[in-house]
Amino acid sequence: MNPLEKLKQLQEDARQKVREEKYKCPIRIYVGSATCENAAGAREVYNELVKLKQEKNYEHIYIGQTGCSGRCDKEPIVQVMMESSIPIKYCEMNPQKIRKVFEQHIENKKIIREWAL
Amino acid sequence: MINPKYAVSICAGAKCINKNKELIVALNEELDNADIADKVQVLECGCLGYCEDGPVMFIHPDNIMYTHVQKEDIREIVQEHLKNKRWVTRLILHRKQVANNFFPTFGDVAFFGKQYRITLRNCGVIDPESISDYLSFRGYEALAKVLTEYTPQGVIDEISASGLRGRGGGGFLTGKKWQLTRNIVDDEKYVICNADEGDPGAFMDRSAIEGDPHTILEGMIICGYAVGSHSGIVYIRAEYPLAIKRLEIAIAQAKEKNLLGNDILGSGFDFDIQLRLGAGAFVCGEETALINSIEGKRGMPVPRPPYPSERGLFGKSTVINNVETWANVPDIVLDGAVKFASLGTEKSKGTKVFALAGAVENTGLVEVQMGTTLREIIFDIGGGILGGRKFKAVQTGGPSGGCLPSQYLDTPIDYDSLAKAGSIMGSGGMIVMDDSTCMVDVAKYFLDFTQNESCGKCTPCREGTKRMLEILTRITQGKGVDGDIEKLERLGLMIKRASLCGLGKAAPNPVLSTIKNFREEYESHIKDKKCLAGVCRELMHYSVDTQKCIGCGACKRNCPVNCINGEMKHPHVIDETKCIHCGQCYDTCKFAAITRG
Repeated sequence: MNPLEKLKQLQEDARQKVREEKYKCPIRIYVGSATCENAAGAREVYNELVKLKQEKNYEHIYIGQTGCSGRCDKEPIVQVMMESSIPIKYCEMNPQKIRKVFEQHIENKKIIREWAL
Repeated sequence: MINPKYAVSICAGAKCINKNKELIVALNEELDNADIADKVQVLECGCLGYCEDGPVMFIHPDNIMYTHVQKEDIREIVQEHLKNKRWVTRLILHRKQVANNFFPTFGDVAFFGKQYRITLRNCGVIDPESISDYLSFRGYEALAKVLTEYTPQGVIDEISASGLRGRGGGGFLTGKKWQLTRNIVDDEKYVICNADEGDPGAFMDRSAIEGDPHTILEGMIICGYAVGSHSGIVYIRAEYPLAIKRLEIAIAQAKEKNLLGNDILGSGFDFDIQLRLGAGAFVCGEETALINSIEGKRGMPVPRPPYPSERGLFGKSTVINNVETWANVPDIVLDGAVKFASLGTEKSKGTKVFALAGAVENTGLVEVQMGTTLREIIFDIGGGILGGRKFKAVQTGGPSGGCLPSQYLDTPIDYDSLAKAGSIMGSGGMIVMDDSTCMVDVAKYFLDFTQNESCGKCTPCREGTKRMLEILTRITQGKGVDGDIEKLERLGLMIKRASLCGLGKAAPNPVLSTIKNFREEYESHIKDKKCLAGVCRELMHYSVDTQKCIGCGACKRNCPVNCINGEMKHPHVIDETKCIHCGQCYDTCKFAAITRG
């Protein structure tokens, strides 16, 4: 196998893994996580989400992180993607707000428009 | 093919996944048949949210969502939409009108619409701590391609053909730089990533590393192969702990997958990358000072030539490039030099990342094609001036750059046009200023920074910046005298010509450019002792408007030097001889009875 073939194999494995871990989850939440996001409070939002997931006993939620998407004045940004609902980026999140997003958007499928980017 | 004509995202969510494989196969087949496979990128994406209507397919950049796509529909989509730009209306999502504003809710059009992302293509999209994420976005494919199909010289030819120029600020042709190192025969050579980002207000490199660390590593490994080096070093400032952590994770992951280390992907090529932490001295961003710092010496520049490509780290030939330059390399290899060279202006190809800050509505990281005008960045992407105020100037290039007034707003941004306008591209800081900014104060601020960061090795920079700062300070205190402006100009030009390294050579730029473009402001500071923007504290004079003053005594209580006198319920008076111009009374008065001027 030449390097390119080897890499294709690696990529295929990686895609498989990403698919299994993420794409198959009906609900996926991405929290921005760069120094700037963390300074704006992204860490607390992330922890709150993990706590909520345990509290409410949801198994099929993927909570992940991404780098900075460039919208500095709107940080922390949380992206919510779930089945049967368009993807939404919520901005200027904090633990209280994310709790509300969780209850409204994820549990009741109601998008909170005024917080969306 | 990172930025093809079309990108087709096929949903790989739980409900679409069953059909997704056969759709991808069919799509690739049809694209080949139609002979447009090189213009369309096929991607898998996570659930798009229209599960009842699956399988779904999303076409960028038209923002068209096709639903209930069956294998039999693919030919029509390819032939009609992708080839002839006619939408297949029967498949377009109709039920929910929201599809029409899909993008406004997903991102926001004004901010992201005018951007063109190469360096930041994965930032905010992938999980930076997962190599699987990067791999599934065509990660390390450029490296594998290079190792399989390219000779080292072939890589350099490709990079040269792309016209990529160093993104650290100097704008030296990257291909040429690599060629110089390749031409030197030596058993040991080094590849360095300069991540010592020191400009106040700039955070492009930090974000790029924190959002997508593997791209940087991939670029460096490709360069190692091209120039015949086996050792890479990332010089990064210790103030970036998260970026360091992510790089460490990325290096460990890449080693585990045999993408770094010995015998990369079975090709026989070895390359290793280490981190070196800098203590955050601005001058260490200068390449010779950076090399000294890595060697364990004091971070001071040495005269060039010899350039690092001849005698660099530990006396060996070395390639040094900025983070952003490295991030462009995998894209050029994957998409081809022709595609990259088609972006941007004649002499500056590709894109540039700017850290947009200051008095604009939308601050943030923006990546635009070279040749985009300042106006587009500030007013379209940036959303205009904060609070509807008036635009006054934009500062590009950090402390080494200059301030450009409104007549330069329509300048297309590239290395040469900015230099011609009296500023520089720099590493990409962009600070927007509104009419409440005092240009003398701005010049003083930047000079204060460079004067502090001057390493002290050469006299023009060490002494010259100090003297310039003294003059500027004097002017802002109302002690400026006739001839100060000329003195600043003379000193500035001298420092520019005589300094040893880039820091000194560029330090006078903020002063010289503000004198050139805002000379009348300097004059009003010196002659009239007035700061029209109301910034320079000591030029402010305060007095009480006896008509408005009701004698409440609030100003009197708040005055730190007790220079306000007056009885309760009678107009107060400020004793100018004792006043320190702090402005406390002005801020305290609820009746606007204190006048300032």
